[in-house]
Amino acid sequence: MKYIGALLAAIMVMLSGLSVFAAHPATIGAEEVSTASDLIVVKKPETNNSATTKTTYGVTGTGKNGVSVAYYRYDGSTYNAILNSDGAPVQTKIGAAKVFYKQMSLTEGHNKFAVRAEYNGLSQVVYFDINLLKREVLDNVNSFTYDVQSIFTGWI
Amino acid sequence: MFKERVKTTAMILLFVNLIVLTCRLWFGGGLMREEISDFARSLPLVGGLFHDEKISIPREMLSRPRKILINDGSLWIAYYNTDLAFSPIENRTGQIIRAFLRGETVSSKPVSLREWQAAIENVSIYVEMPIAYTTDMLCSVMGVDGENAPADISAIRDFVILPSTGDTGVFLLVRDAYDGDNARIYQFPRESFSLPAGDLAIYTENNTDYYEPAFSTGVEPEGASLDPMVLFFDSRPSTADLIPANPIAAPEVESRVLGCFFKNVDTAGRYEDGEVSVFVENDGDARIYPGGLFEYRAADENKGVELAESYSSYYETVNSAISFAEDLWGRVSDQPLSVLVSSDLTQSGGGRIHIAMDYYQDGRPVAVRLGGDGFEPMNHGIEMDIADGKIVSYRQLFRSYYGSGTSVLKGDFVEALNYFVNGFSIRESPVITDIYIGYMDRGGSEPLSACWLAELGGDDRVYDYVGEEEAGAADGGEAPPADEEVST
Repeated sequence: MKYIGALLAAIMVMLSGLSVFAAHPATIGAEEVSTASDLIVVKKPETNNSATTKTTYGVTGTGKNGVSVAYYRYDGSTYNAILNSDGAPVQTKIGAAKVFYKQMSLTEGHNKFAVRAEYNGLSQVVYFDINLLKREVLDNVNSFTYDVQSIFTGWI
Repeated sequence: MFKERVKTTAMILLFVNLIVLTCRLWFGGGLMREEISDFARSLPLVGGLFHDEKISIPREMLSRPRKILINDGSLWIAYYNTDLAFSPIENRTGQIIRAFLRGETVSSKPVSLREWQAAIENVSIYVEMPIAYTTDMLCSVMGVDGENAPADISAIRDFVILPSTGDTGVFLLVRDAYDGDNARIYQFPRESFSLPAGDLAIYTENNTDYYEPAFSTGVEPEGASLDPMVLFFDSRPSTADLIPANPIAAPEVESRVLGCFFKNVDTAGRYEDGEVSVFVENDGDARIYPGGLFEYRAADENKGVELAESYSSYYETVNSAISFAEDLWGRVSDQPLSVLVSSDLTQSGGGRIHIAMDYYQDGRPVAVRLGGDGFEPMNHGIEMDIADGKIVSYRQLFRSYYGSGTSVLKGDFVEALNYFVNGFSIRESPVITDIYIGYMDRGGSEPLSACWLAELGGDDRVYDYVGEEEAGAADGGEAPPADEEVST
């Protein structure tokens, strides 16, 4: 009886660990339906379509304590879970600071990502596109970065 | 005949030259002129030829930035002062900062925090010194005549350098270390420095560790504020474990240490208080704990250890304090004293001076946290108080560290942030001023693994997070649980 109890306890422990990190699928479609809308808020990028000259981009956001977050990259047909160096999906659990942060490497042109949040059976997916521009292109077409030199126009 | 005269004249000139150079070498502080580049000075062979001085790590590090964050327009890369690639960029920024301190800027105006941050968001170099200094003190540690130094900012810790363009010279932004709203931008003449934006890519190429200042991430943690310049990063580097050793464990070393504090060690009284050796003299007493903690206290402020003349400047007193710590260390170890001054040098006027120093090993800081029965909690490797040029209190956890193997750092930045925020949330409006990788020494003899360290505004202590499995070291502001303390 003791052995059965121990076995059940071990299985429960294993499953409880899996429930945090196994909830996210390996791939998601381009129009995944969210069952919640308030699990996370992506703070950066601020909009679904943005441009940058940064070749590595820090995706940040806030969310409820305990929400599990996974990251996906679009390969032209589907969104695949981003893997860490061990080949395991990169997933984090939001903690006391209620923030998440993940650096994404960008290639020139459009880079499509998704952040998927999961909490108590509810899920939320946020899609965004980061366009990596060459510096000179960005300067010409977009002034979202602060033009420091303009601070001093007419001053010197 | 003419040839002989030429030869004789040449010989006389050579002889005079020899005497002049010898005099300069002996009495003039070396043959190198001030104008010789920092690069040349940094070359060991050149430096060794002209200066027969031991390297003083604490002095050297006082004048070096702690970290430099480069934004080349496409990413942020951070260099720390022990990185091999640090010197080239440090030399370049050092020239600009020295010129600022010499008052070589042509104009200035106030800037807002938004403009300060915007400068960092653009192509720029952010330079953070290890501590805050008064302008005079910074001039002294950087070897600059500060007669014309700008007096707009009273306490300096960090700078932002904006590259030159075809039309403008280099800009330098400086802000008050204690009042972030007080910041100014200074402009150098166009001909002073050439630092085109494209040059910054030299320092960022082949570097894969990407950093991002907190203000740029757009997130604010709940329960605690983050200083805007706390750097987020994603990597978990491999780090060496450190084995601590107590270099004053041998009995014969005791008298060498005490010799720095007592007029006559032989006549000092001695008794044992448990495991603690107590030494008493008319002018003060000292205690040596088995783990390597040494404490000295003068009987009163007039009977302390003579360090400097009472009229010495603030810089001279700090300099003498460093020399004292190095002399003391030289009595117990052949290795140079690897510590950094970790208390701000922003005192104005006379009075009691408190100086703290912390060990630095394998490029990472080693924080100290000691507490227990019988002695005041200690939060630094060395703590000393100086009154009128005399050391009236001196405490040091004597430590040598030896690297041993490597291990991957446990936990990541956000995990550590969660831990610290959770711990600090019981405080009123806590501000986390920095999170970085280092070591925590609690006075034990077990190997130290690298961990996450956090500093909190208005708090002298450093807090640690060792990873999920071993969490429990950071305490959110209260004294660590008694079972975590290792009696020294």
